[in-house]
Amino acid sequence: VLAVFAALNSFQVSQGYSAQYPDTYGGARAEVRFAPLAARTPSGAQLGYITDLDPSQPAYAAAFLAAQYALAPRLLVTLTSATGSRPEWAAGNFTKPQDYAAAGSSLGYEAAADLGNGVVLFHRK
Amino acid sequence: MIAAAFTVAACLVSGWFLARALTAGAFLGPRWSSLLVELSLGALFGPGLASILCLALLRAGAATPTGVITTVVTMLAACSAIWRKFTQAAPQPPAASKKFPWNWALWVCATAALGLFLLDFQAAAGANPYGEWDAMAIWNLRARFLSSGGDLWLRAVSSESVGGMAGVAHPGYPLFLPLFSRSHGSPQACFPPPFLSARACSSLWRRWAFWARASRHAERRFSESWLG
Repeated sequence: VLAVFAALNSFQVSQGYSAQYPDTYGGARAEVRFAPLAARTPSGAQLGYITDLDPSQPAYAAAFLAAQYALAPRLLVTLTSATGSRPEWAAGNFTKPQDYAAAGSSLGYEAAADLGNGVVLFHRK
Repeated sequence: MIAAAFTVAACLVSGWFLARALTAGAFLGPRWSSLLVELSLGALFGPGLASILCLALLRAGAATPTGVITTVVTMLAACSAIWRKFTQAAPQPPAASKKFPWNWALWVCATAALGLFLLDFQAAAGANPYGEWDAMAIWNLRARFLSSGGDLWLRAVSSESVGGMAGVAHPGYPLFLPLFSRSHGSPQACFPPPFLSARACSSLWRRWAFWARASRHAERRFSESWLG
């Protein structure tokens, strides 16, 4: 009887949590946001990753992962200003409107298309 | 289609043989209950073993249709032999003891708890159709790489995937779950024990379908490359 009541409590908690936080990890939103970018890049491509989030913040990993999930099997590669791998195309994932060209320029990329919802396709200069 | 159906069936039967061998004499209840356990374990063992062997074939460049079927048939024969060897020595279950008079109440409680579990699972899965964090970050993401053509499957075990964040990507995790978890358009949540819910059975079936599709794709690619 206790187990049945515990199951009932668990269901109520789950239902409340699901209603309050749908798509907790952003996978469904990322699928919609990155669909235009996926359509413009080859499925086997490596893509640089440009964002306005600080890598030291927890939100960075979650945003990166949702983007990677939506774009797989394309491989997202983190870009640094230091010399390193610089794929031909890069995916921009921004949390708010800003000067996207400037964000890409510091990493050697130019904005090729603003795809909306903070998603930008960059091309290597 | 027939070859794929045969391969899947052989995997399931192999798993069932293996489960019967490993659980021989362990369950003293009615036959239907031990059969349920054997089928549940078999659905994990068979495809798990087959996925390991197929991955080895893939690495060895021998994942042709003939190679896969030969491997699965060999696995079936080996599991059958193991079952025969282990079950001969297994002790016979004792006669059934006296029935507990309140069993009906336990059944009512178990049924109610199962119903609540299904509602709970449905609520969580409906809110996160791409799965909880681990399902999305580890299993389903790697499944997407694994189901891709060519050498793209190597990204599933690359330390560079997920931006080199090894703590998130877990490149060393086994490939069993992702090999079965990917089905385009109907991504799954975290894995419940098989046969506990209708959703679990349905997702298991979709994983089978994905596995069969991925196998056919891999076989076709390898055949094409071999035949030039």
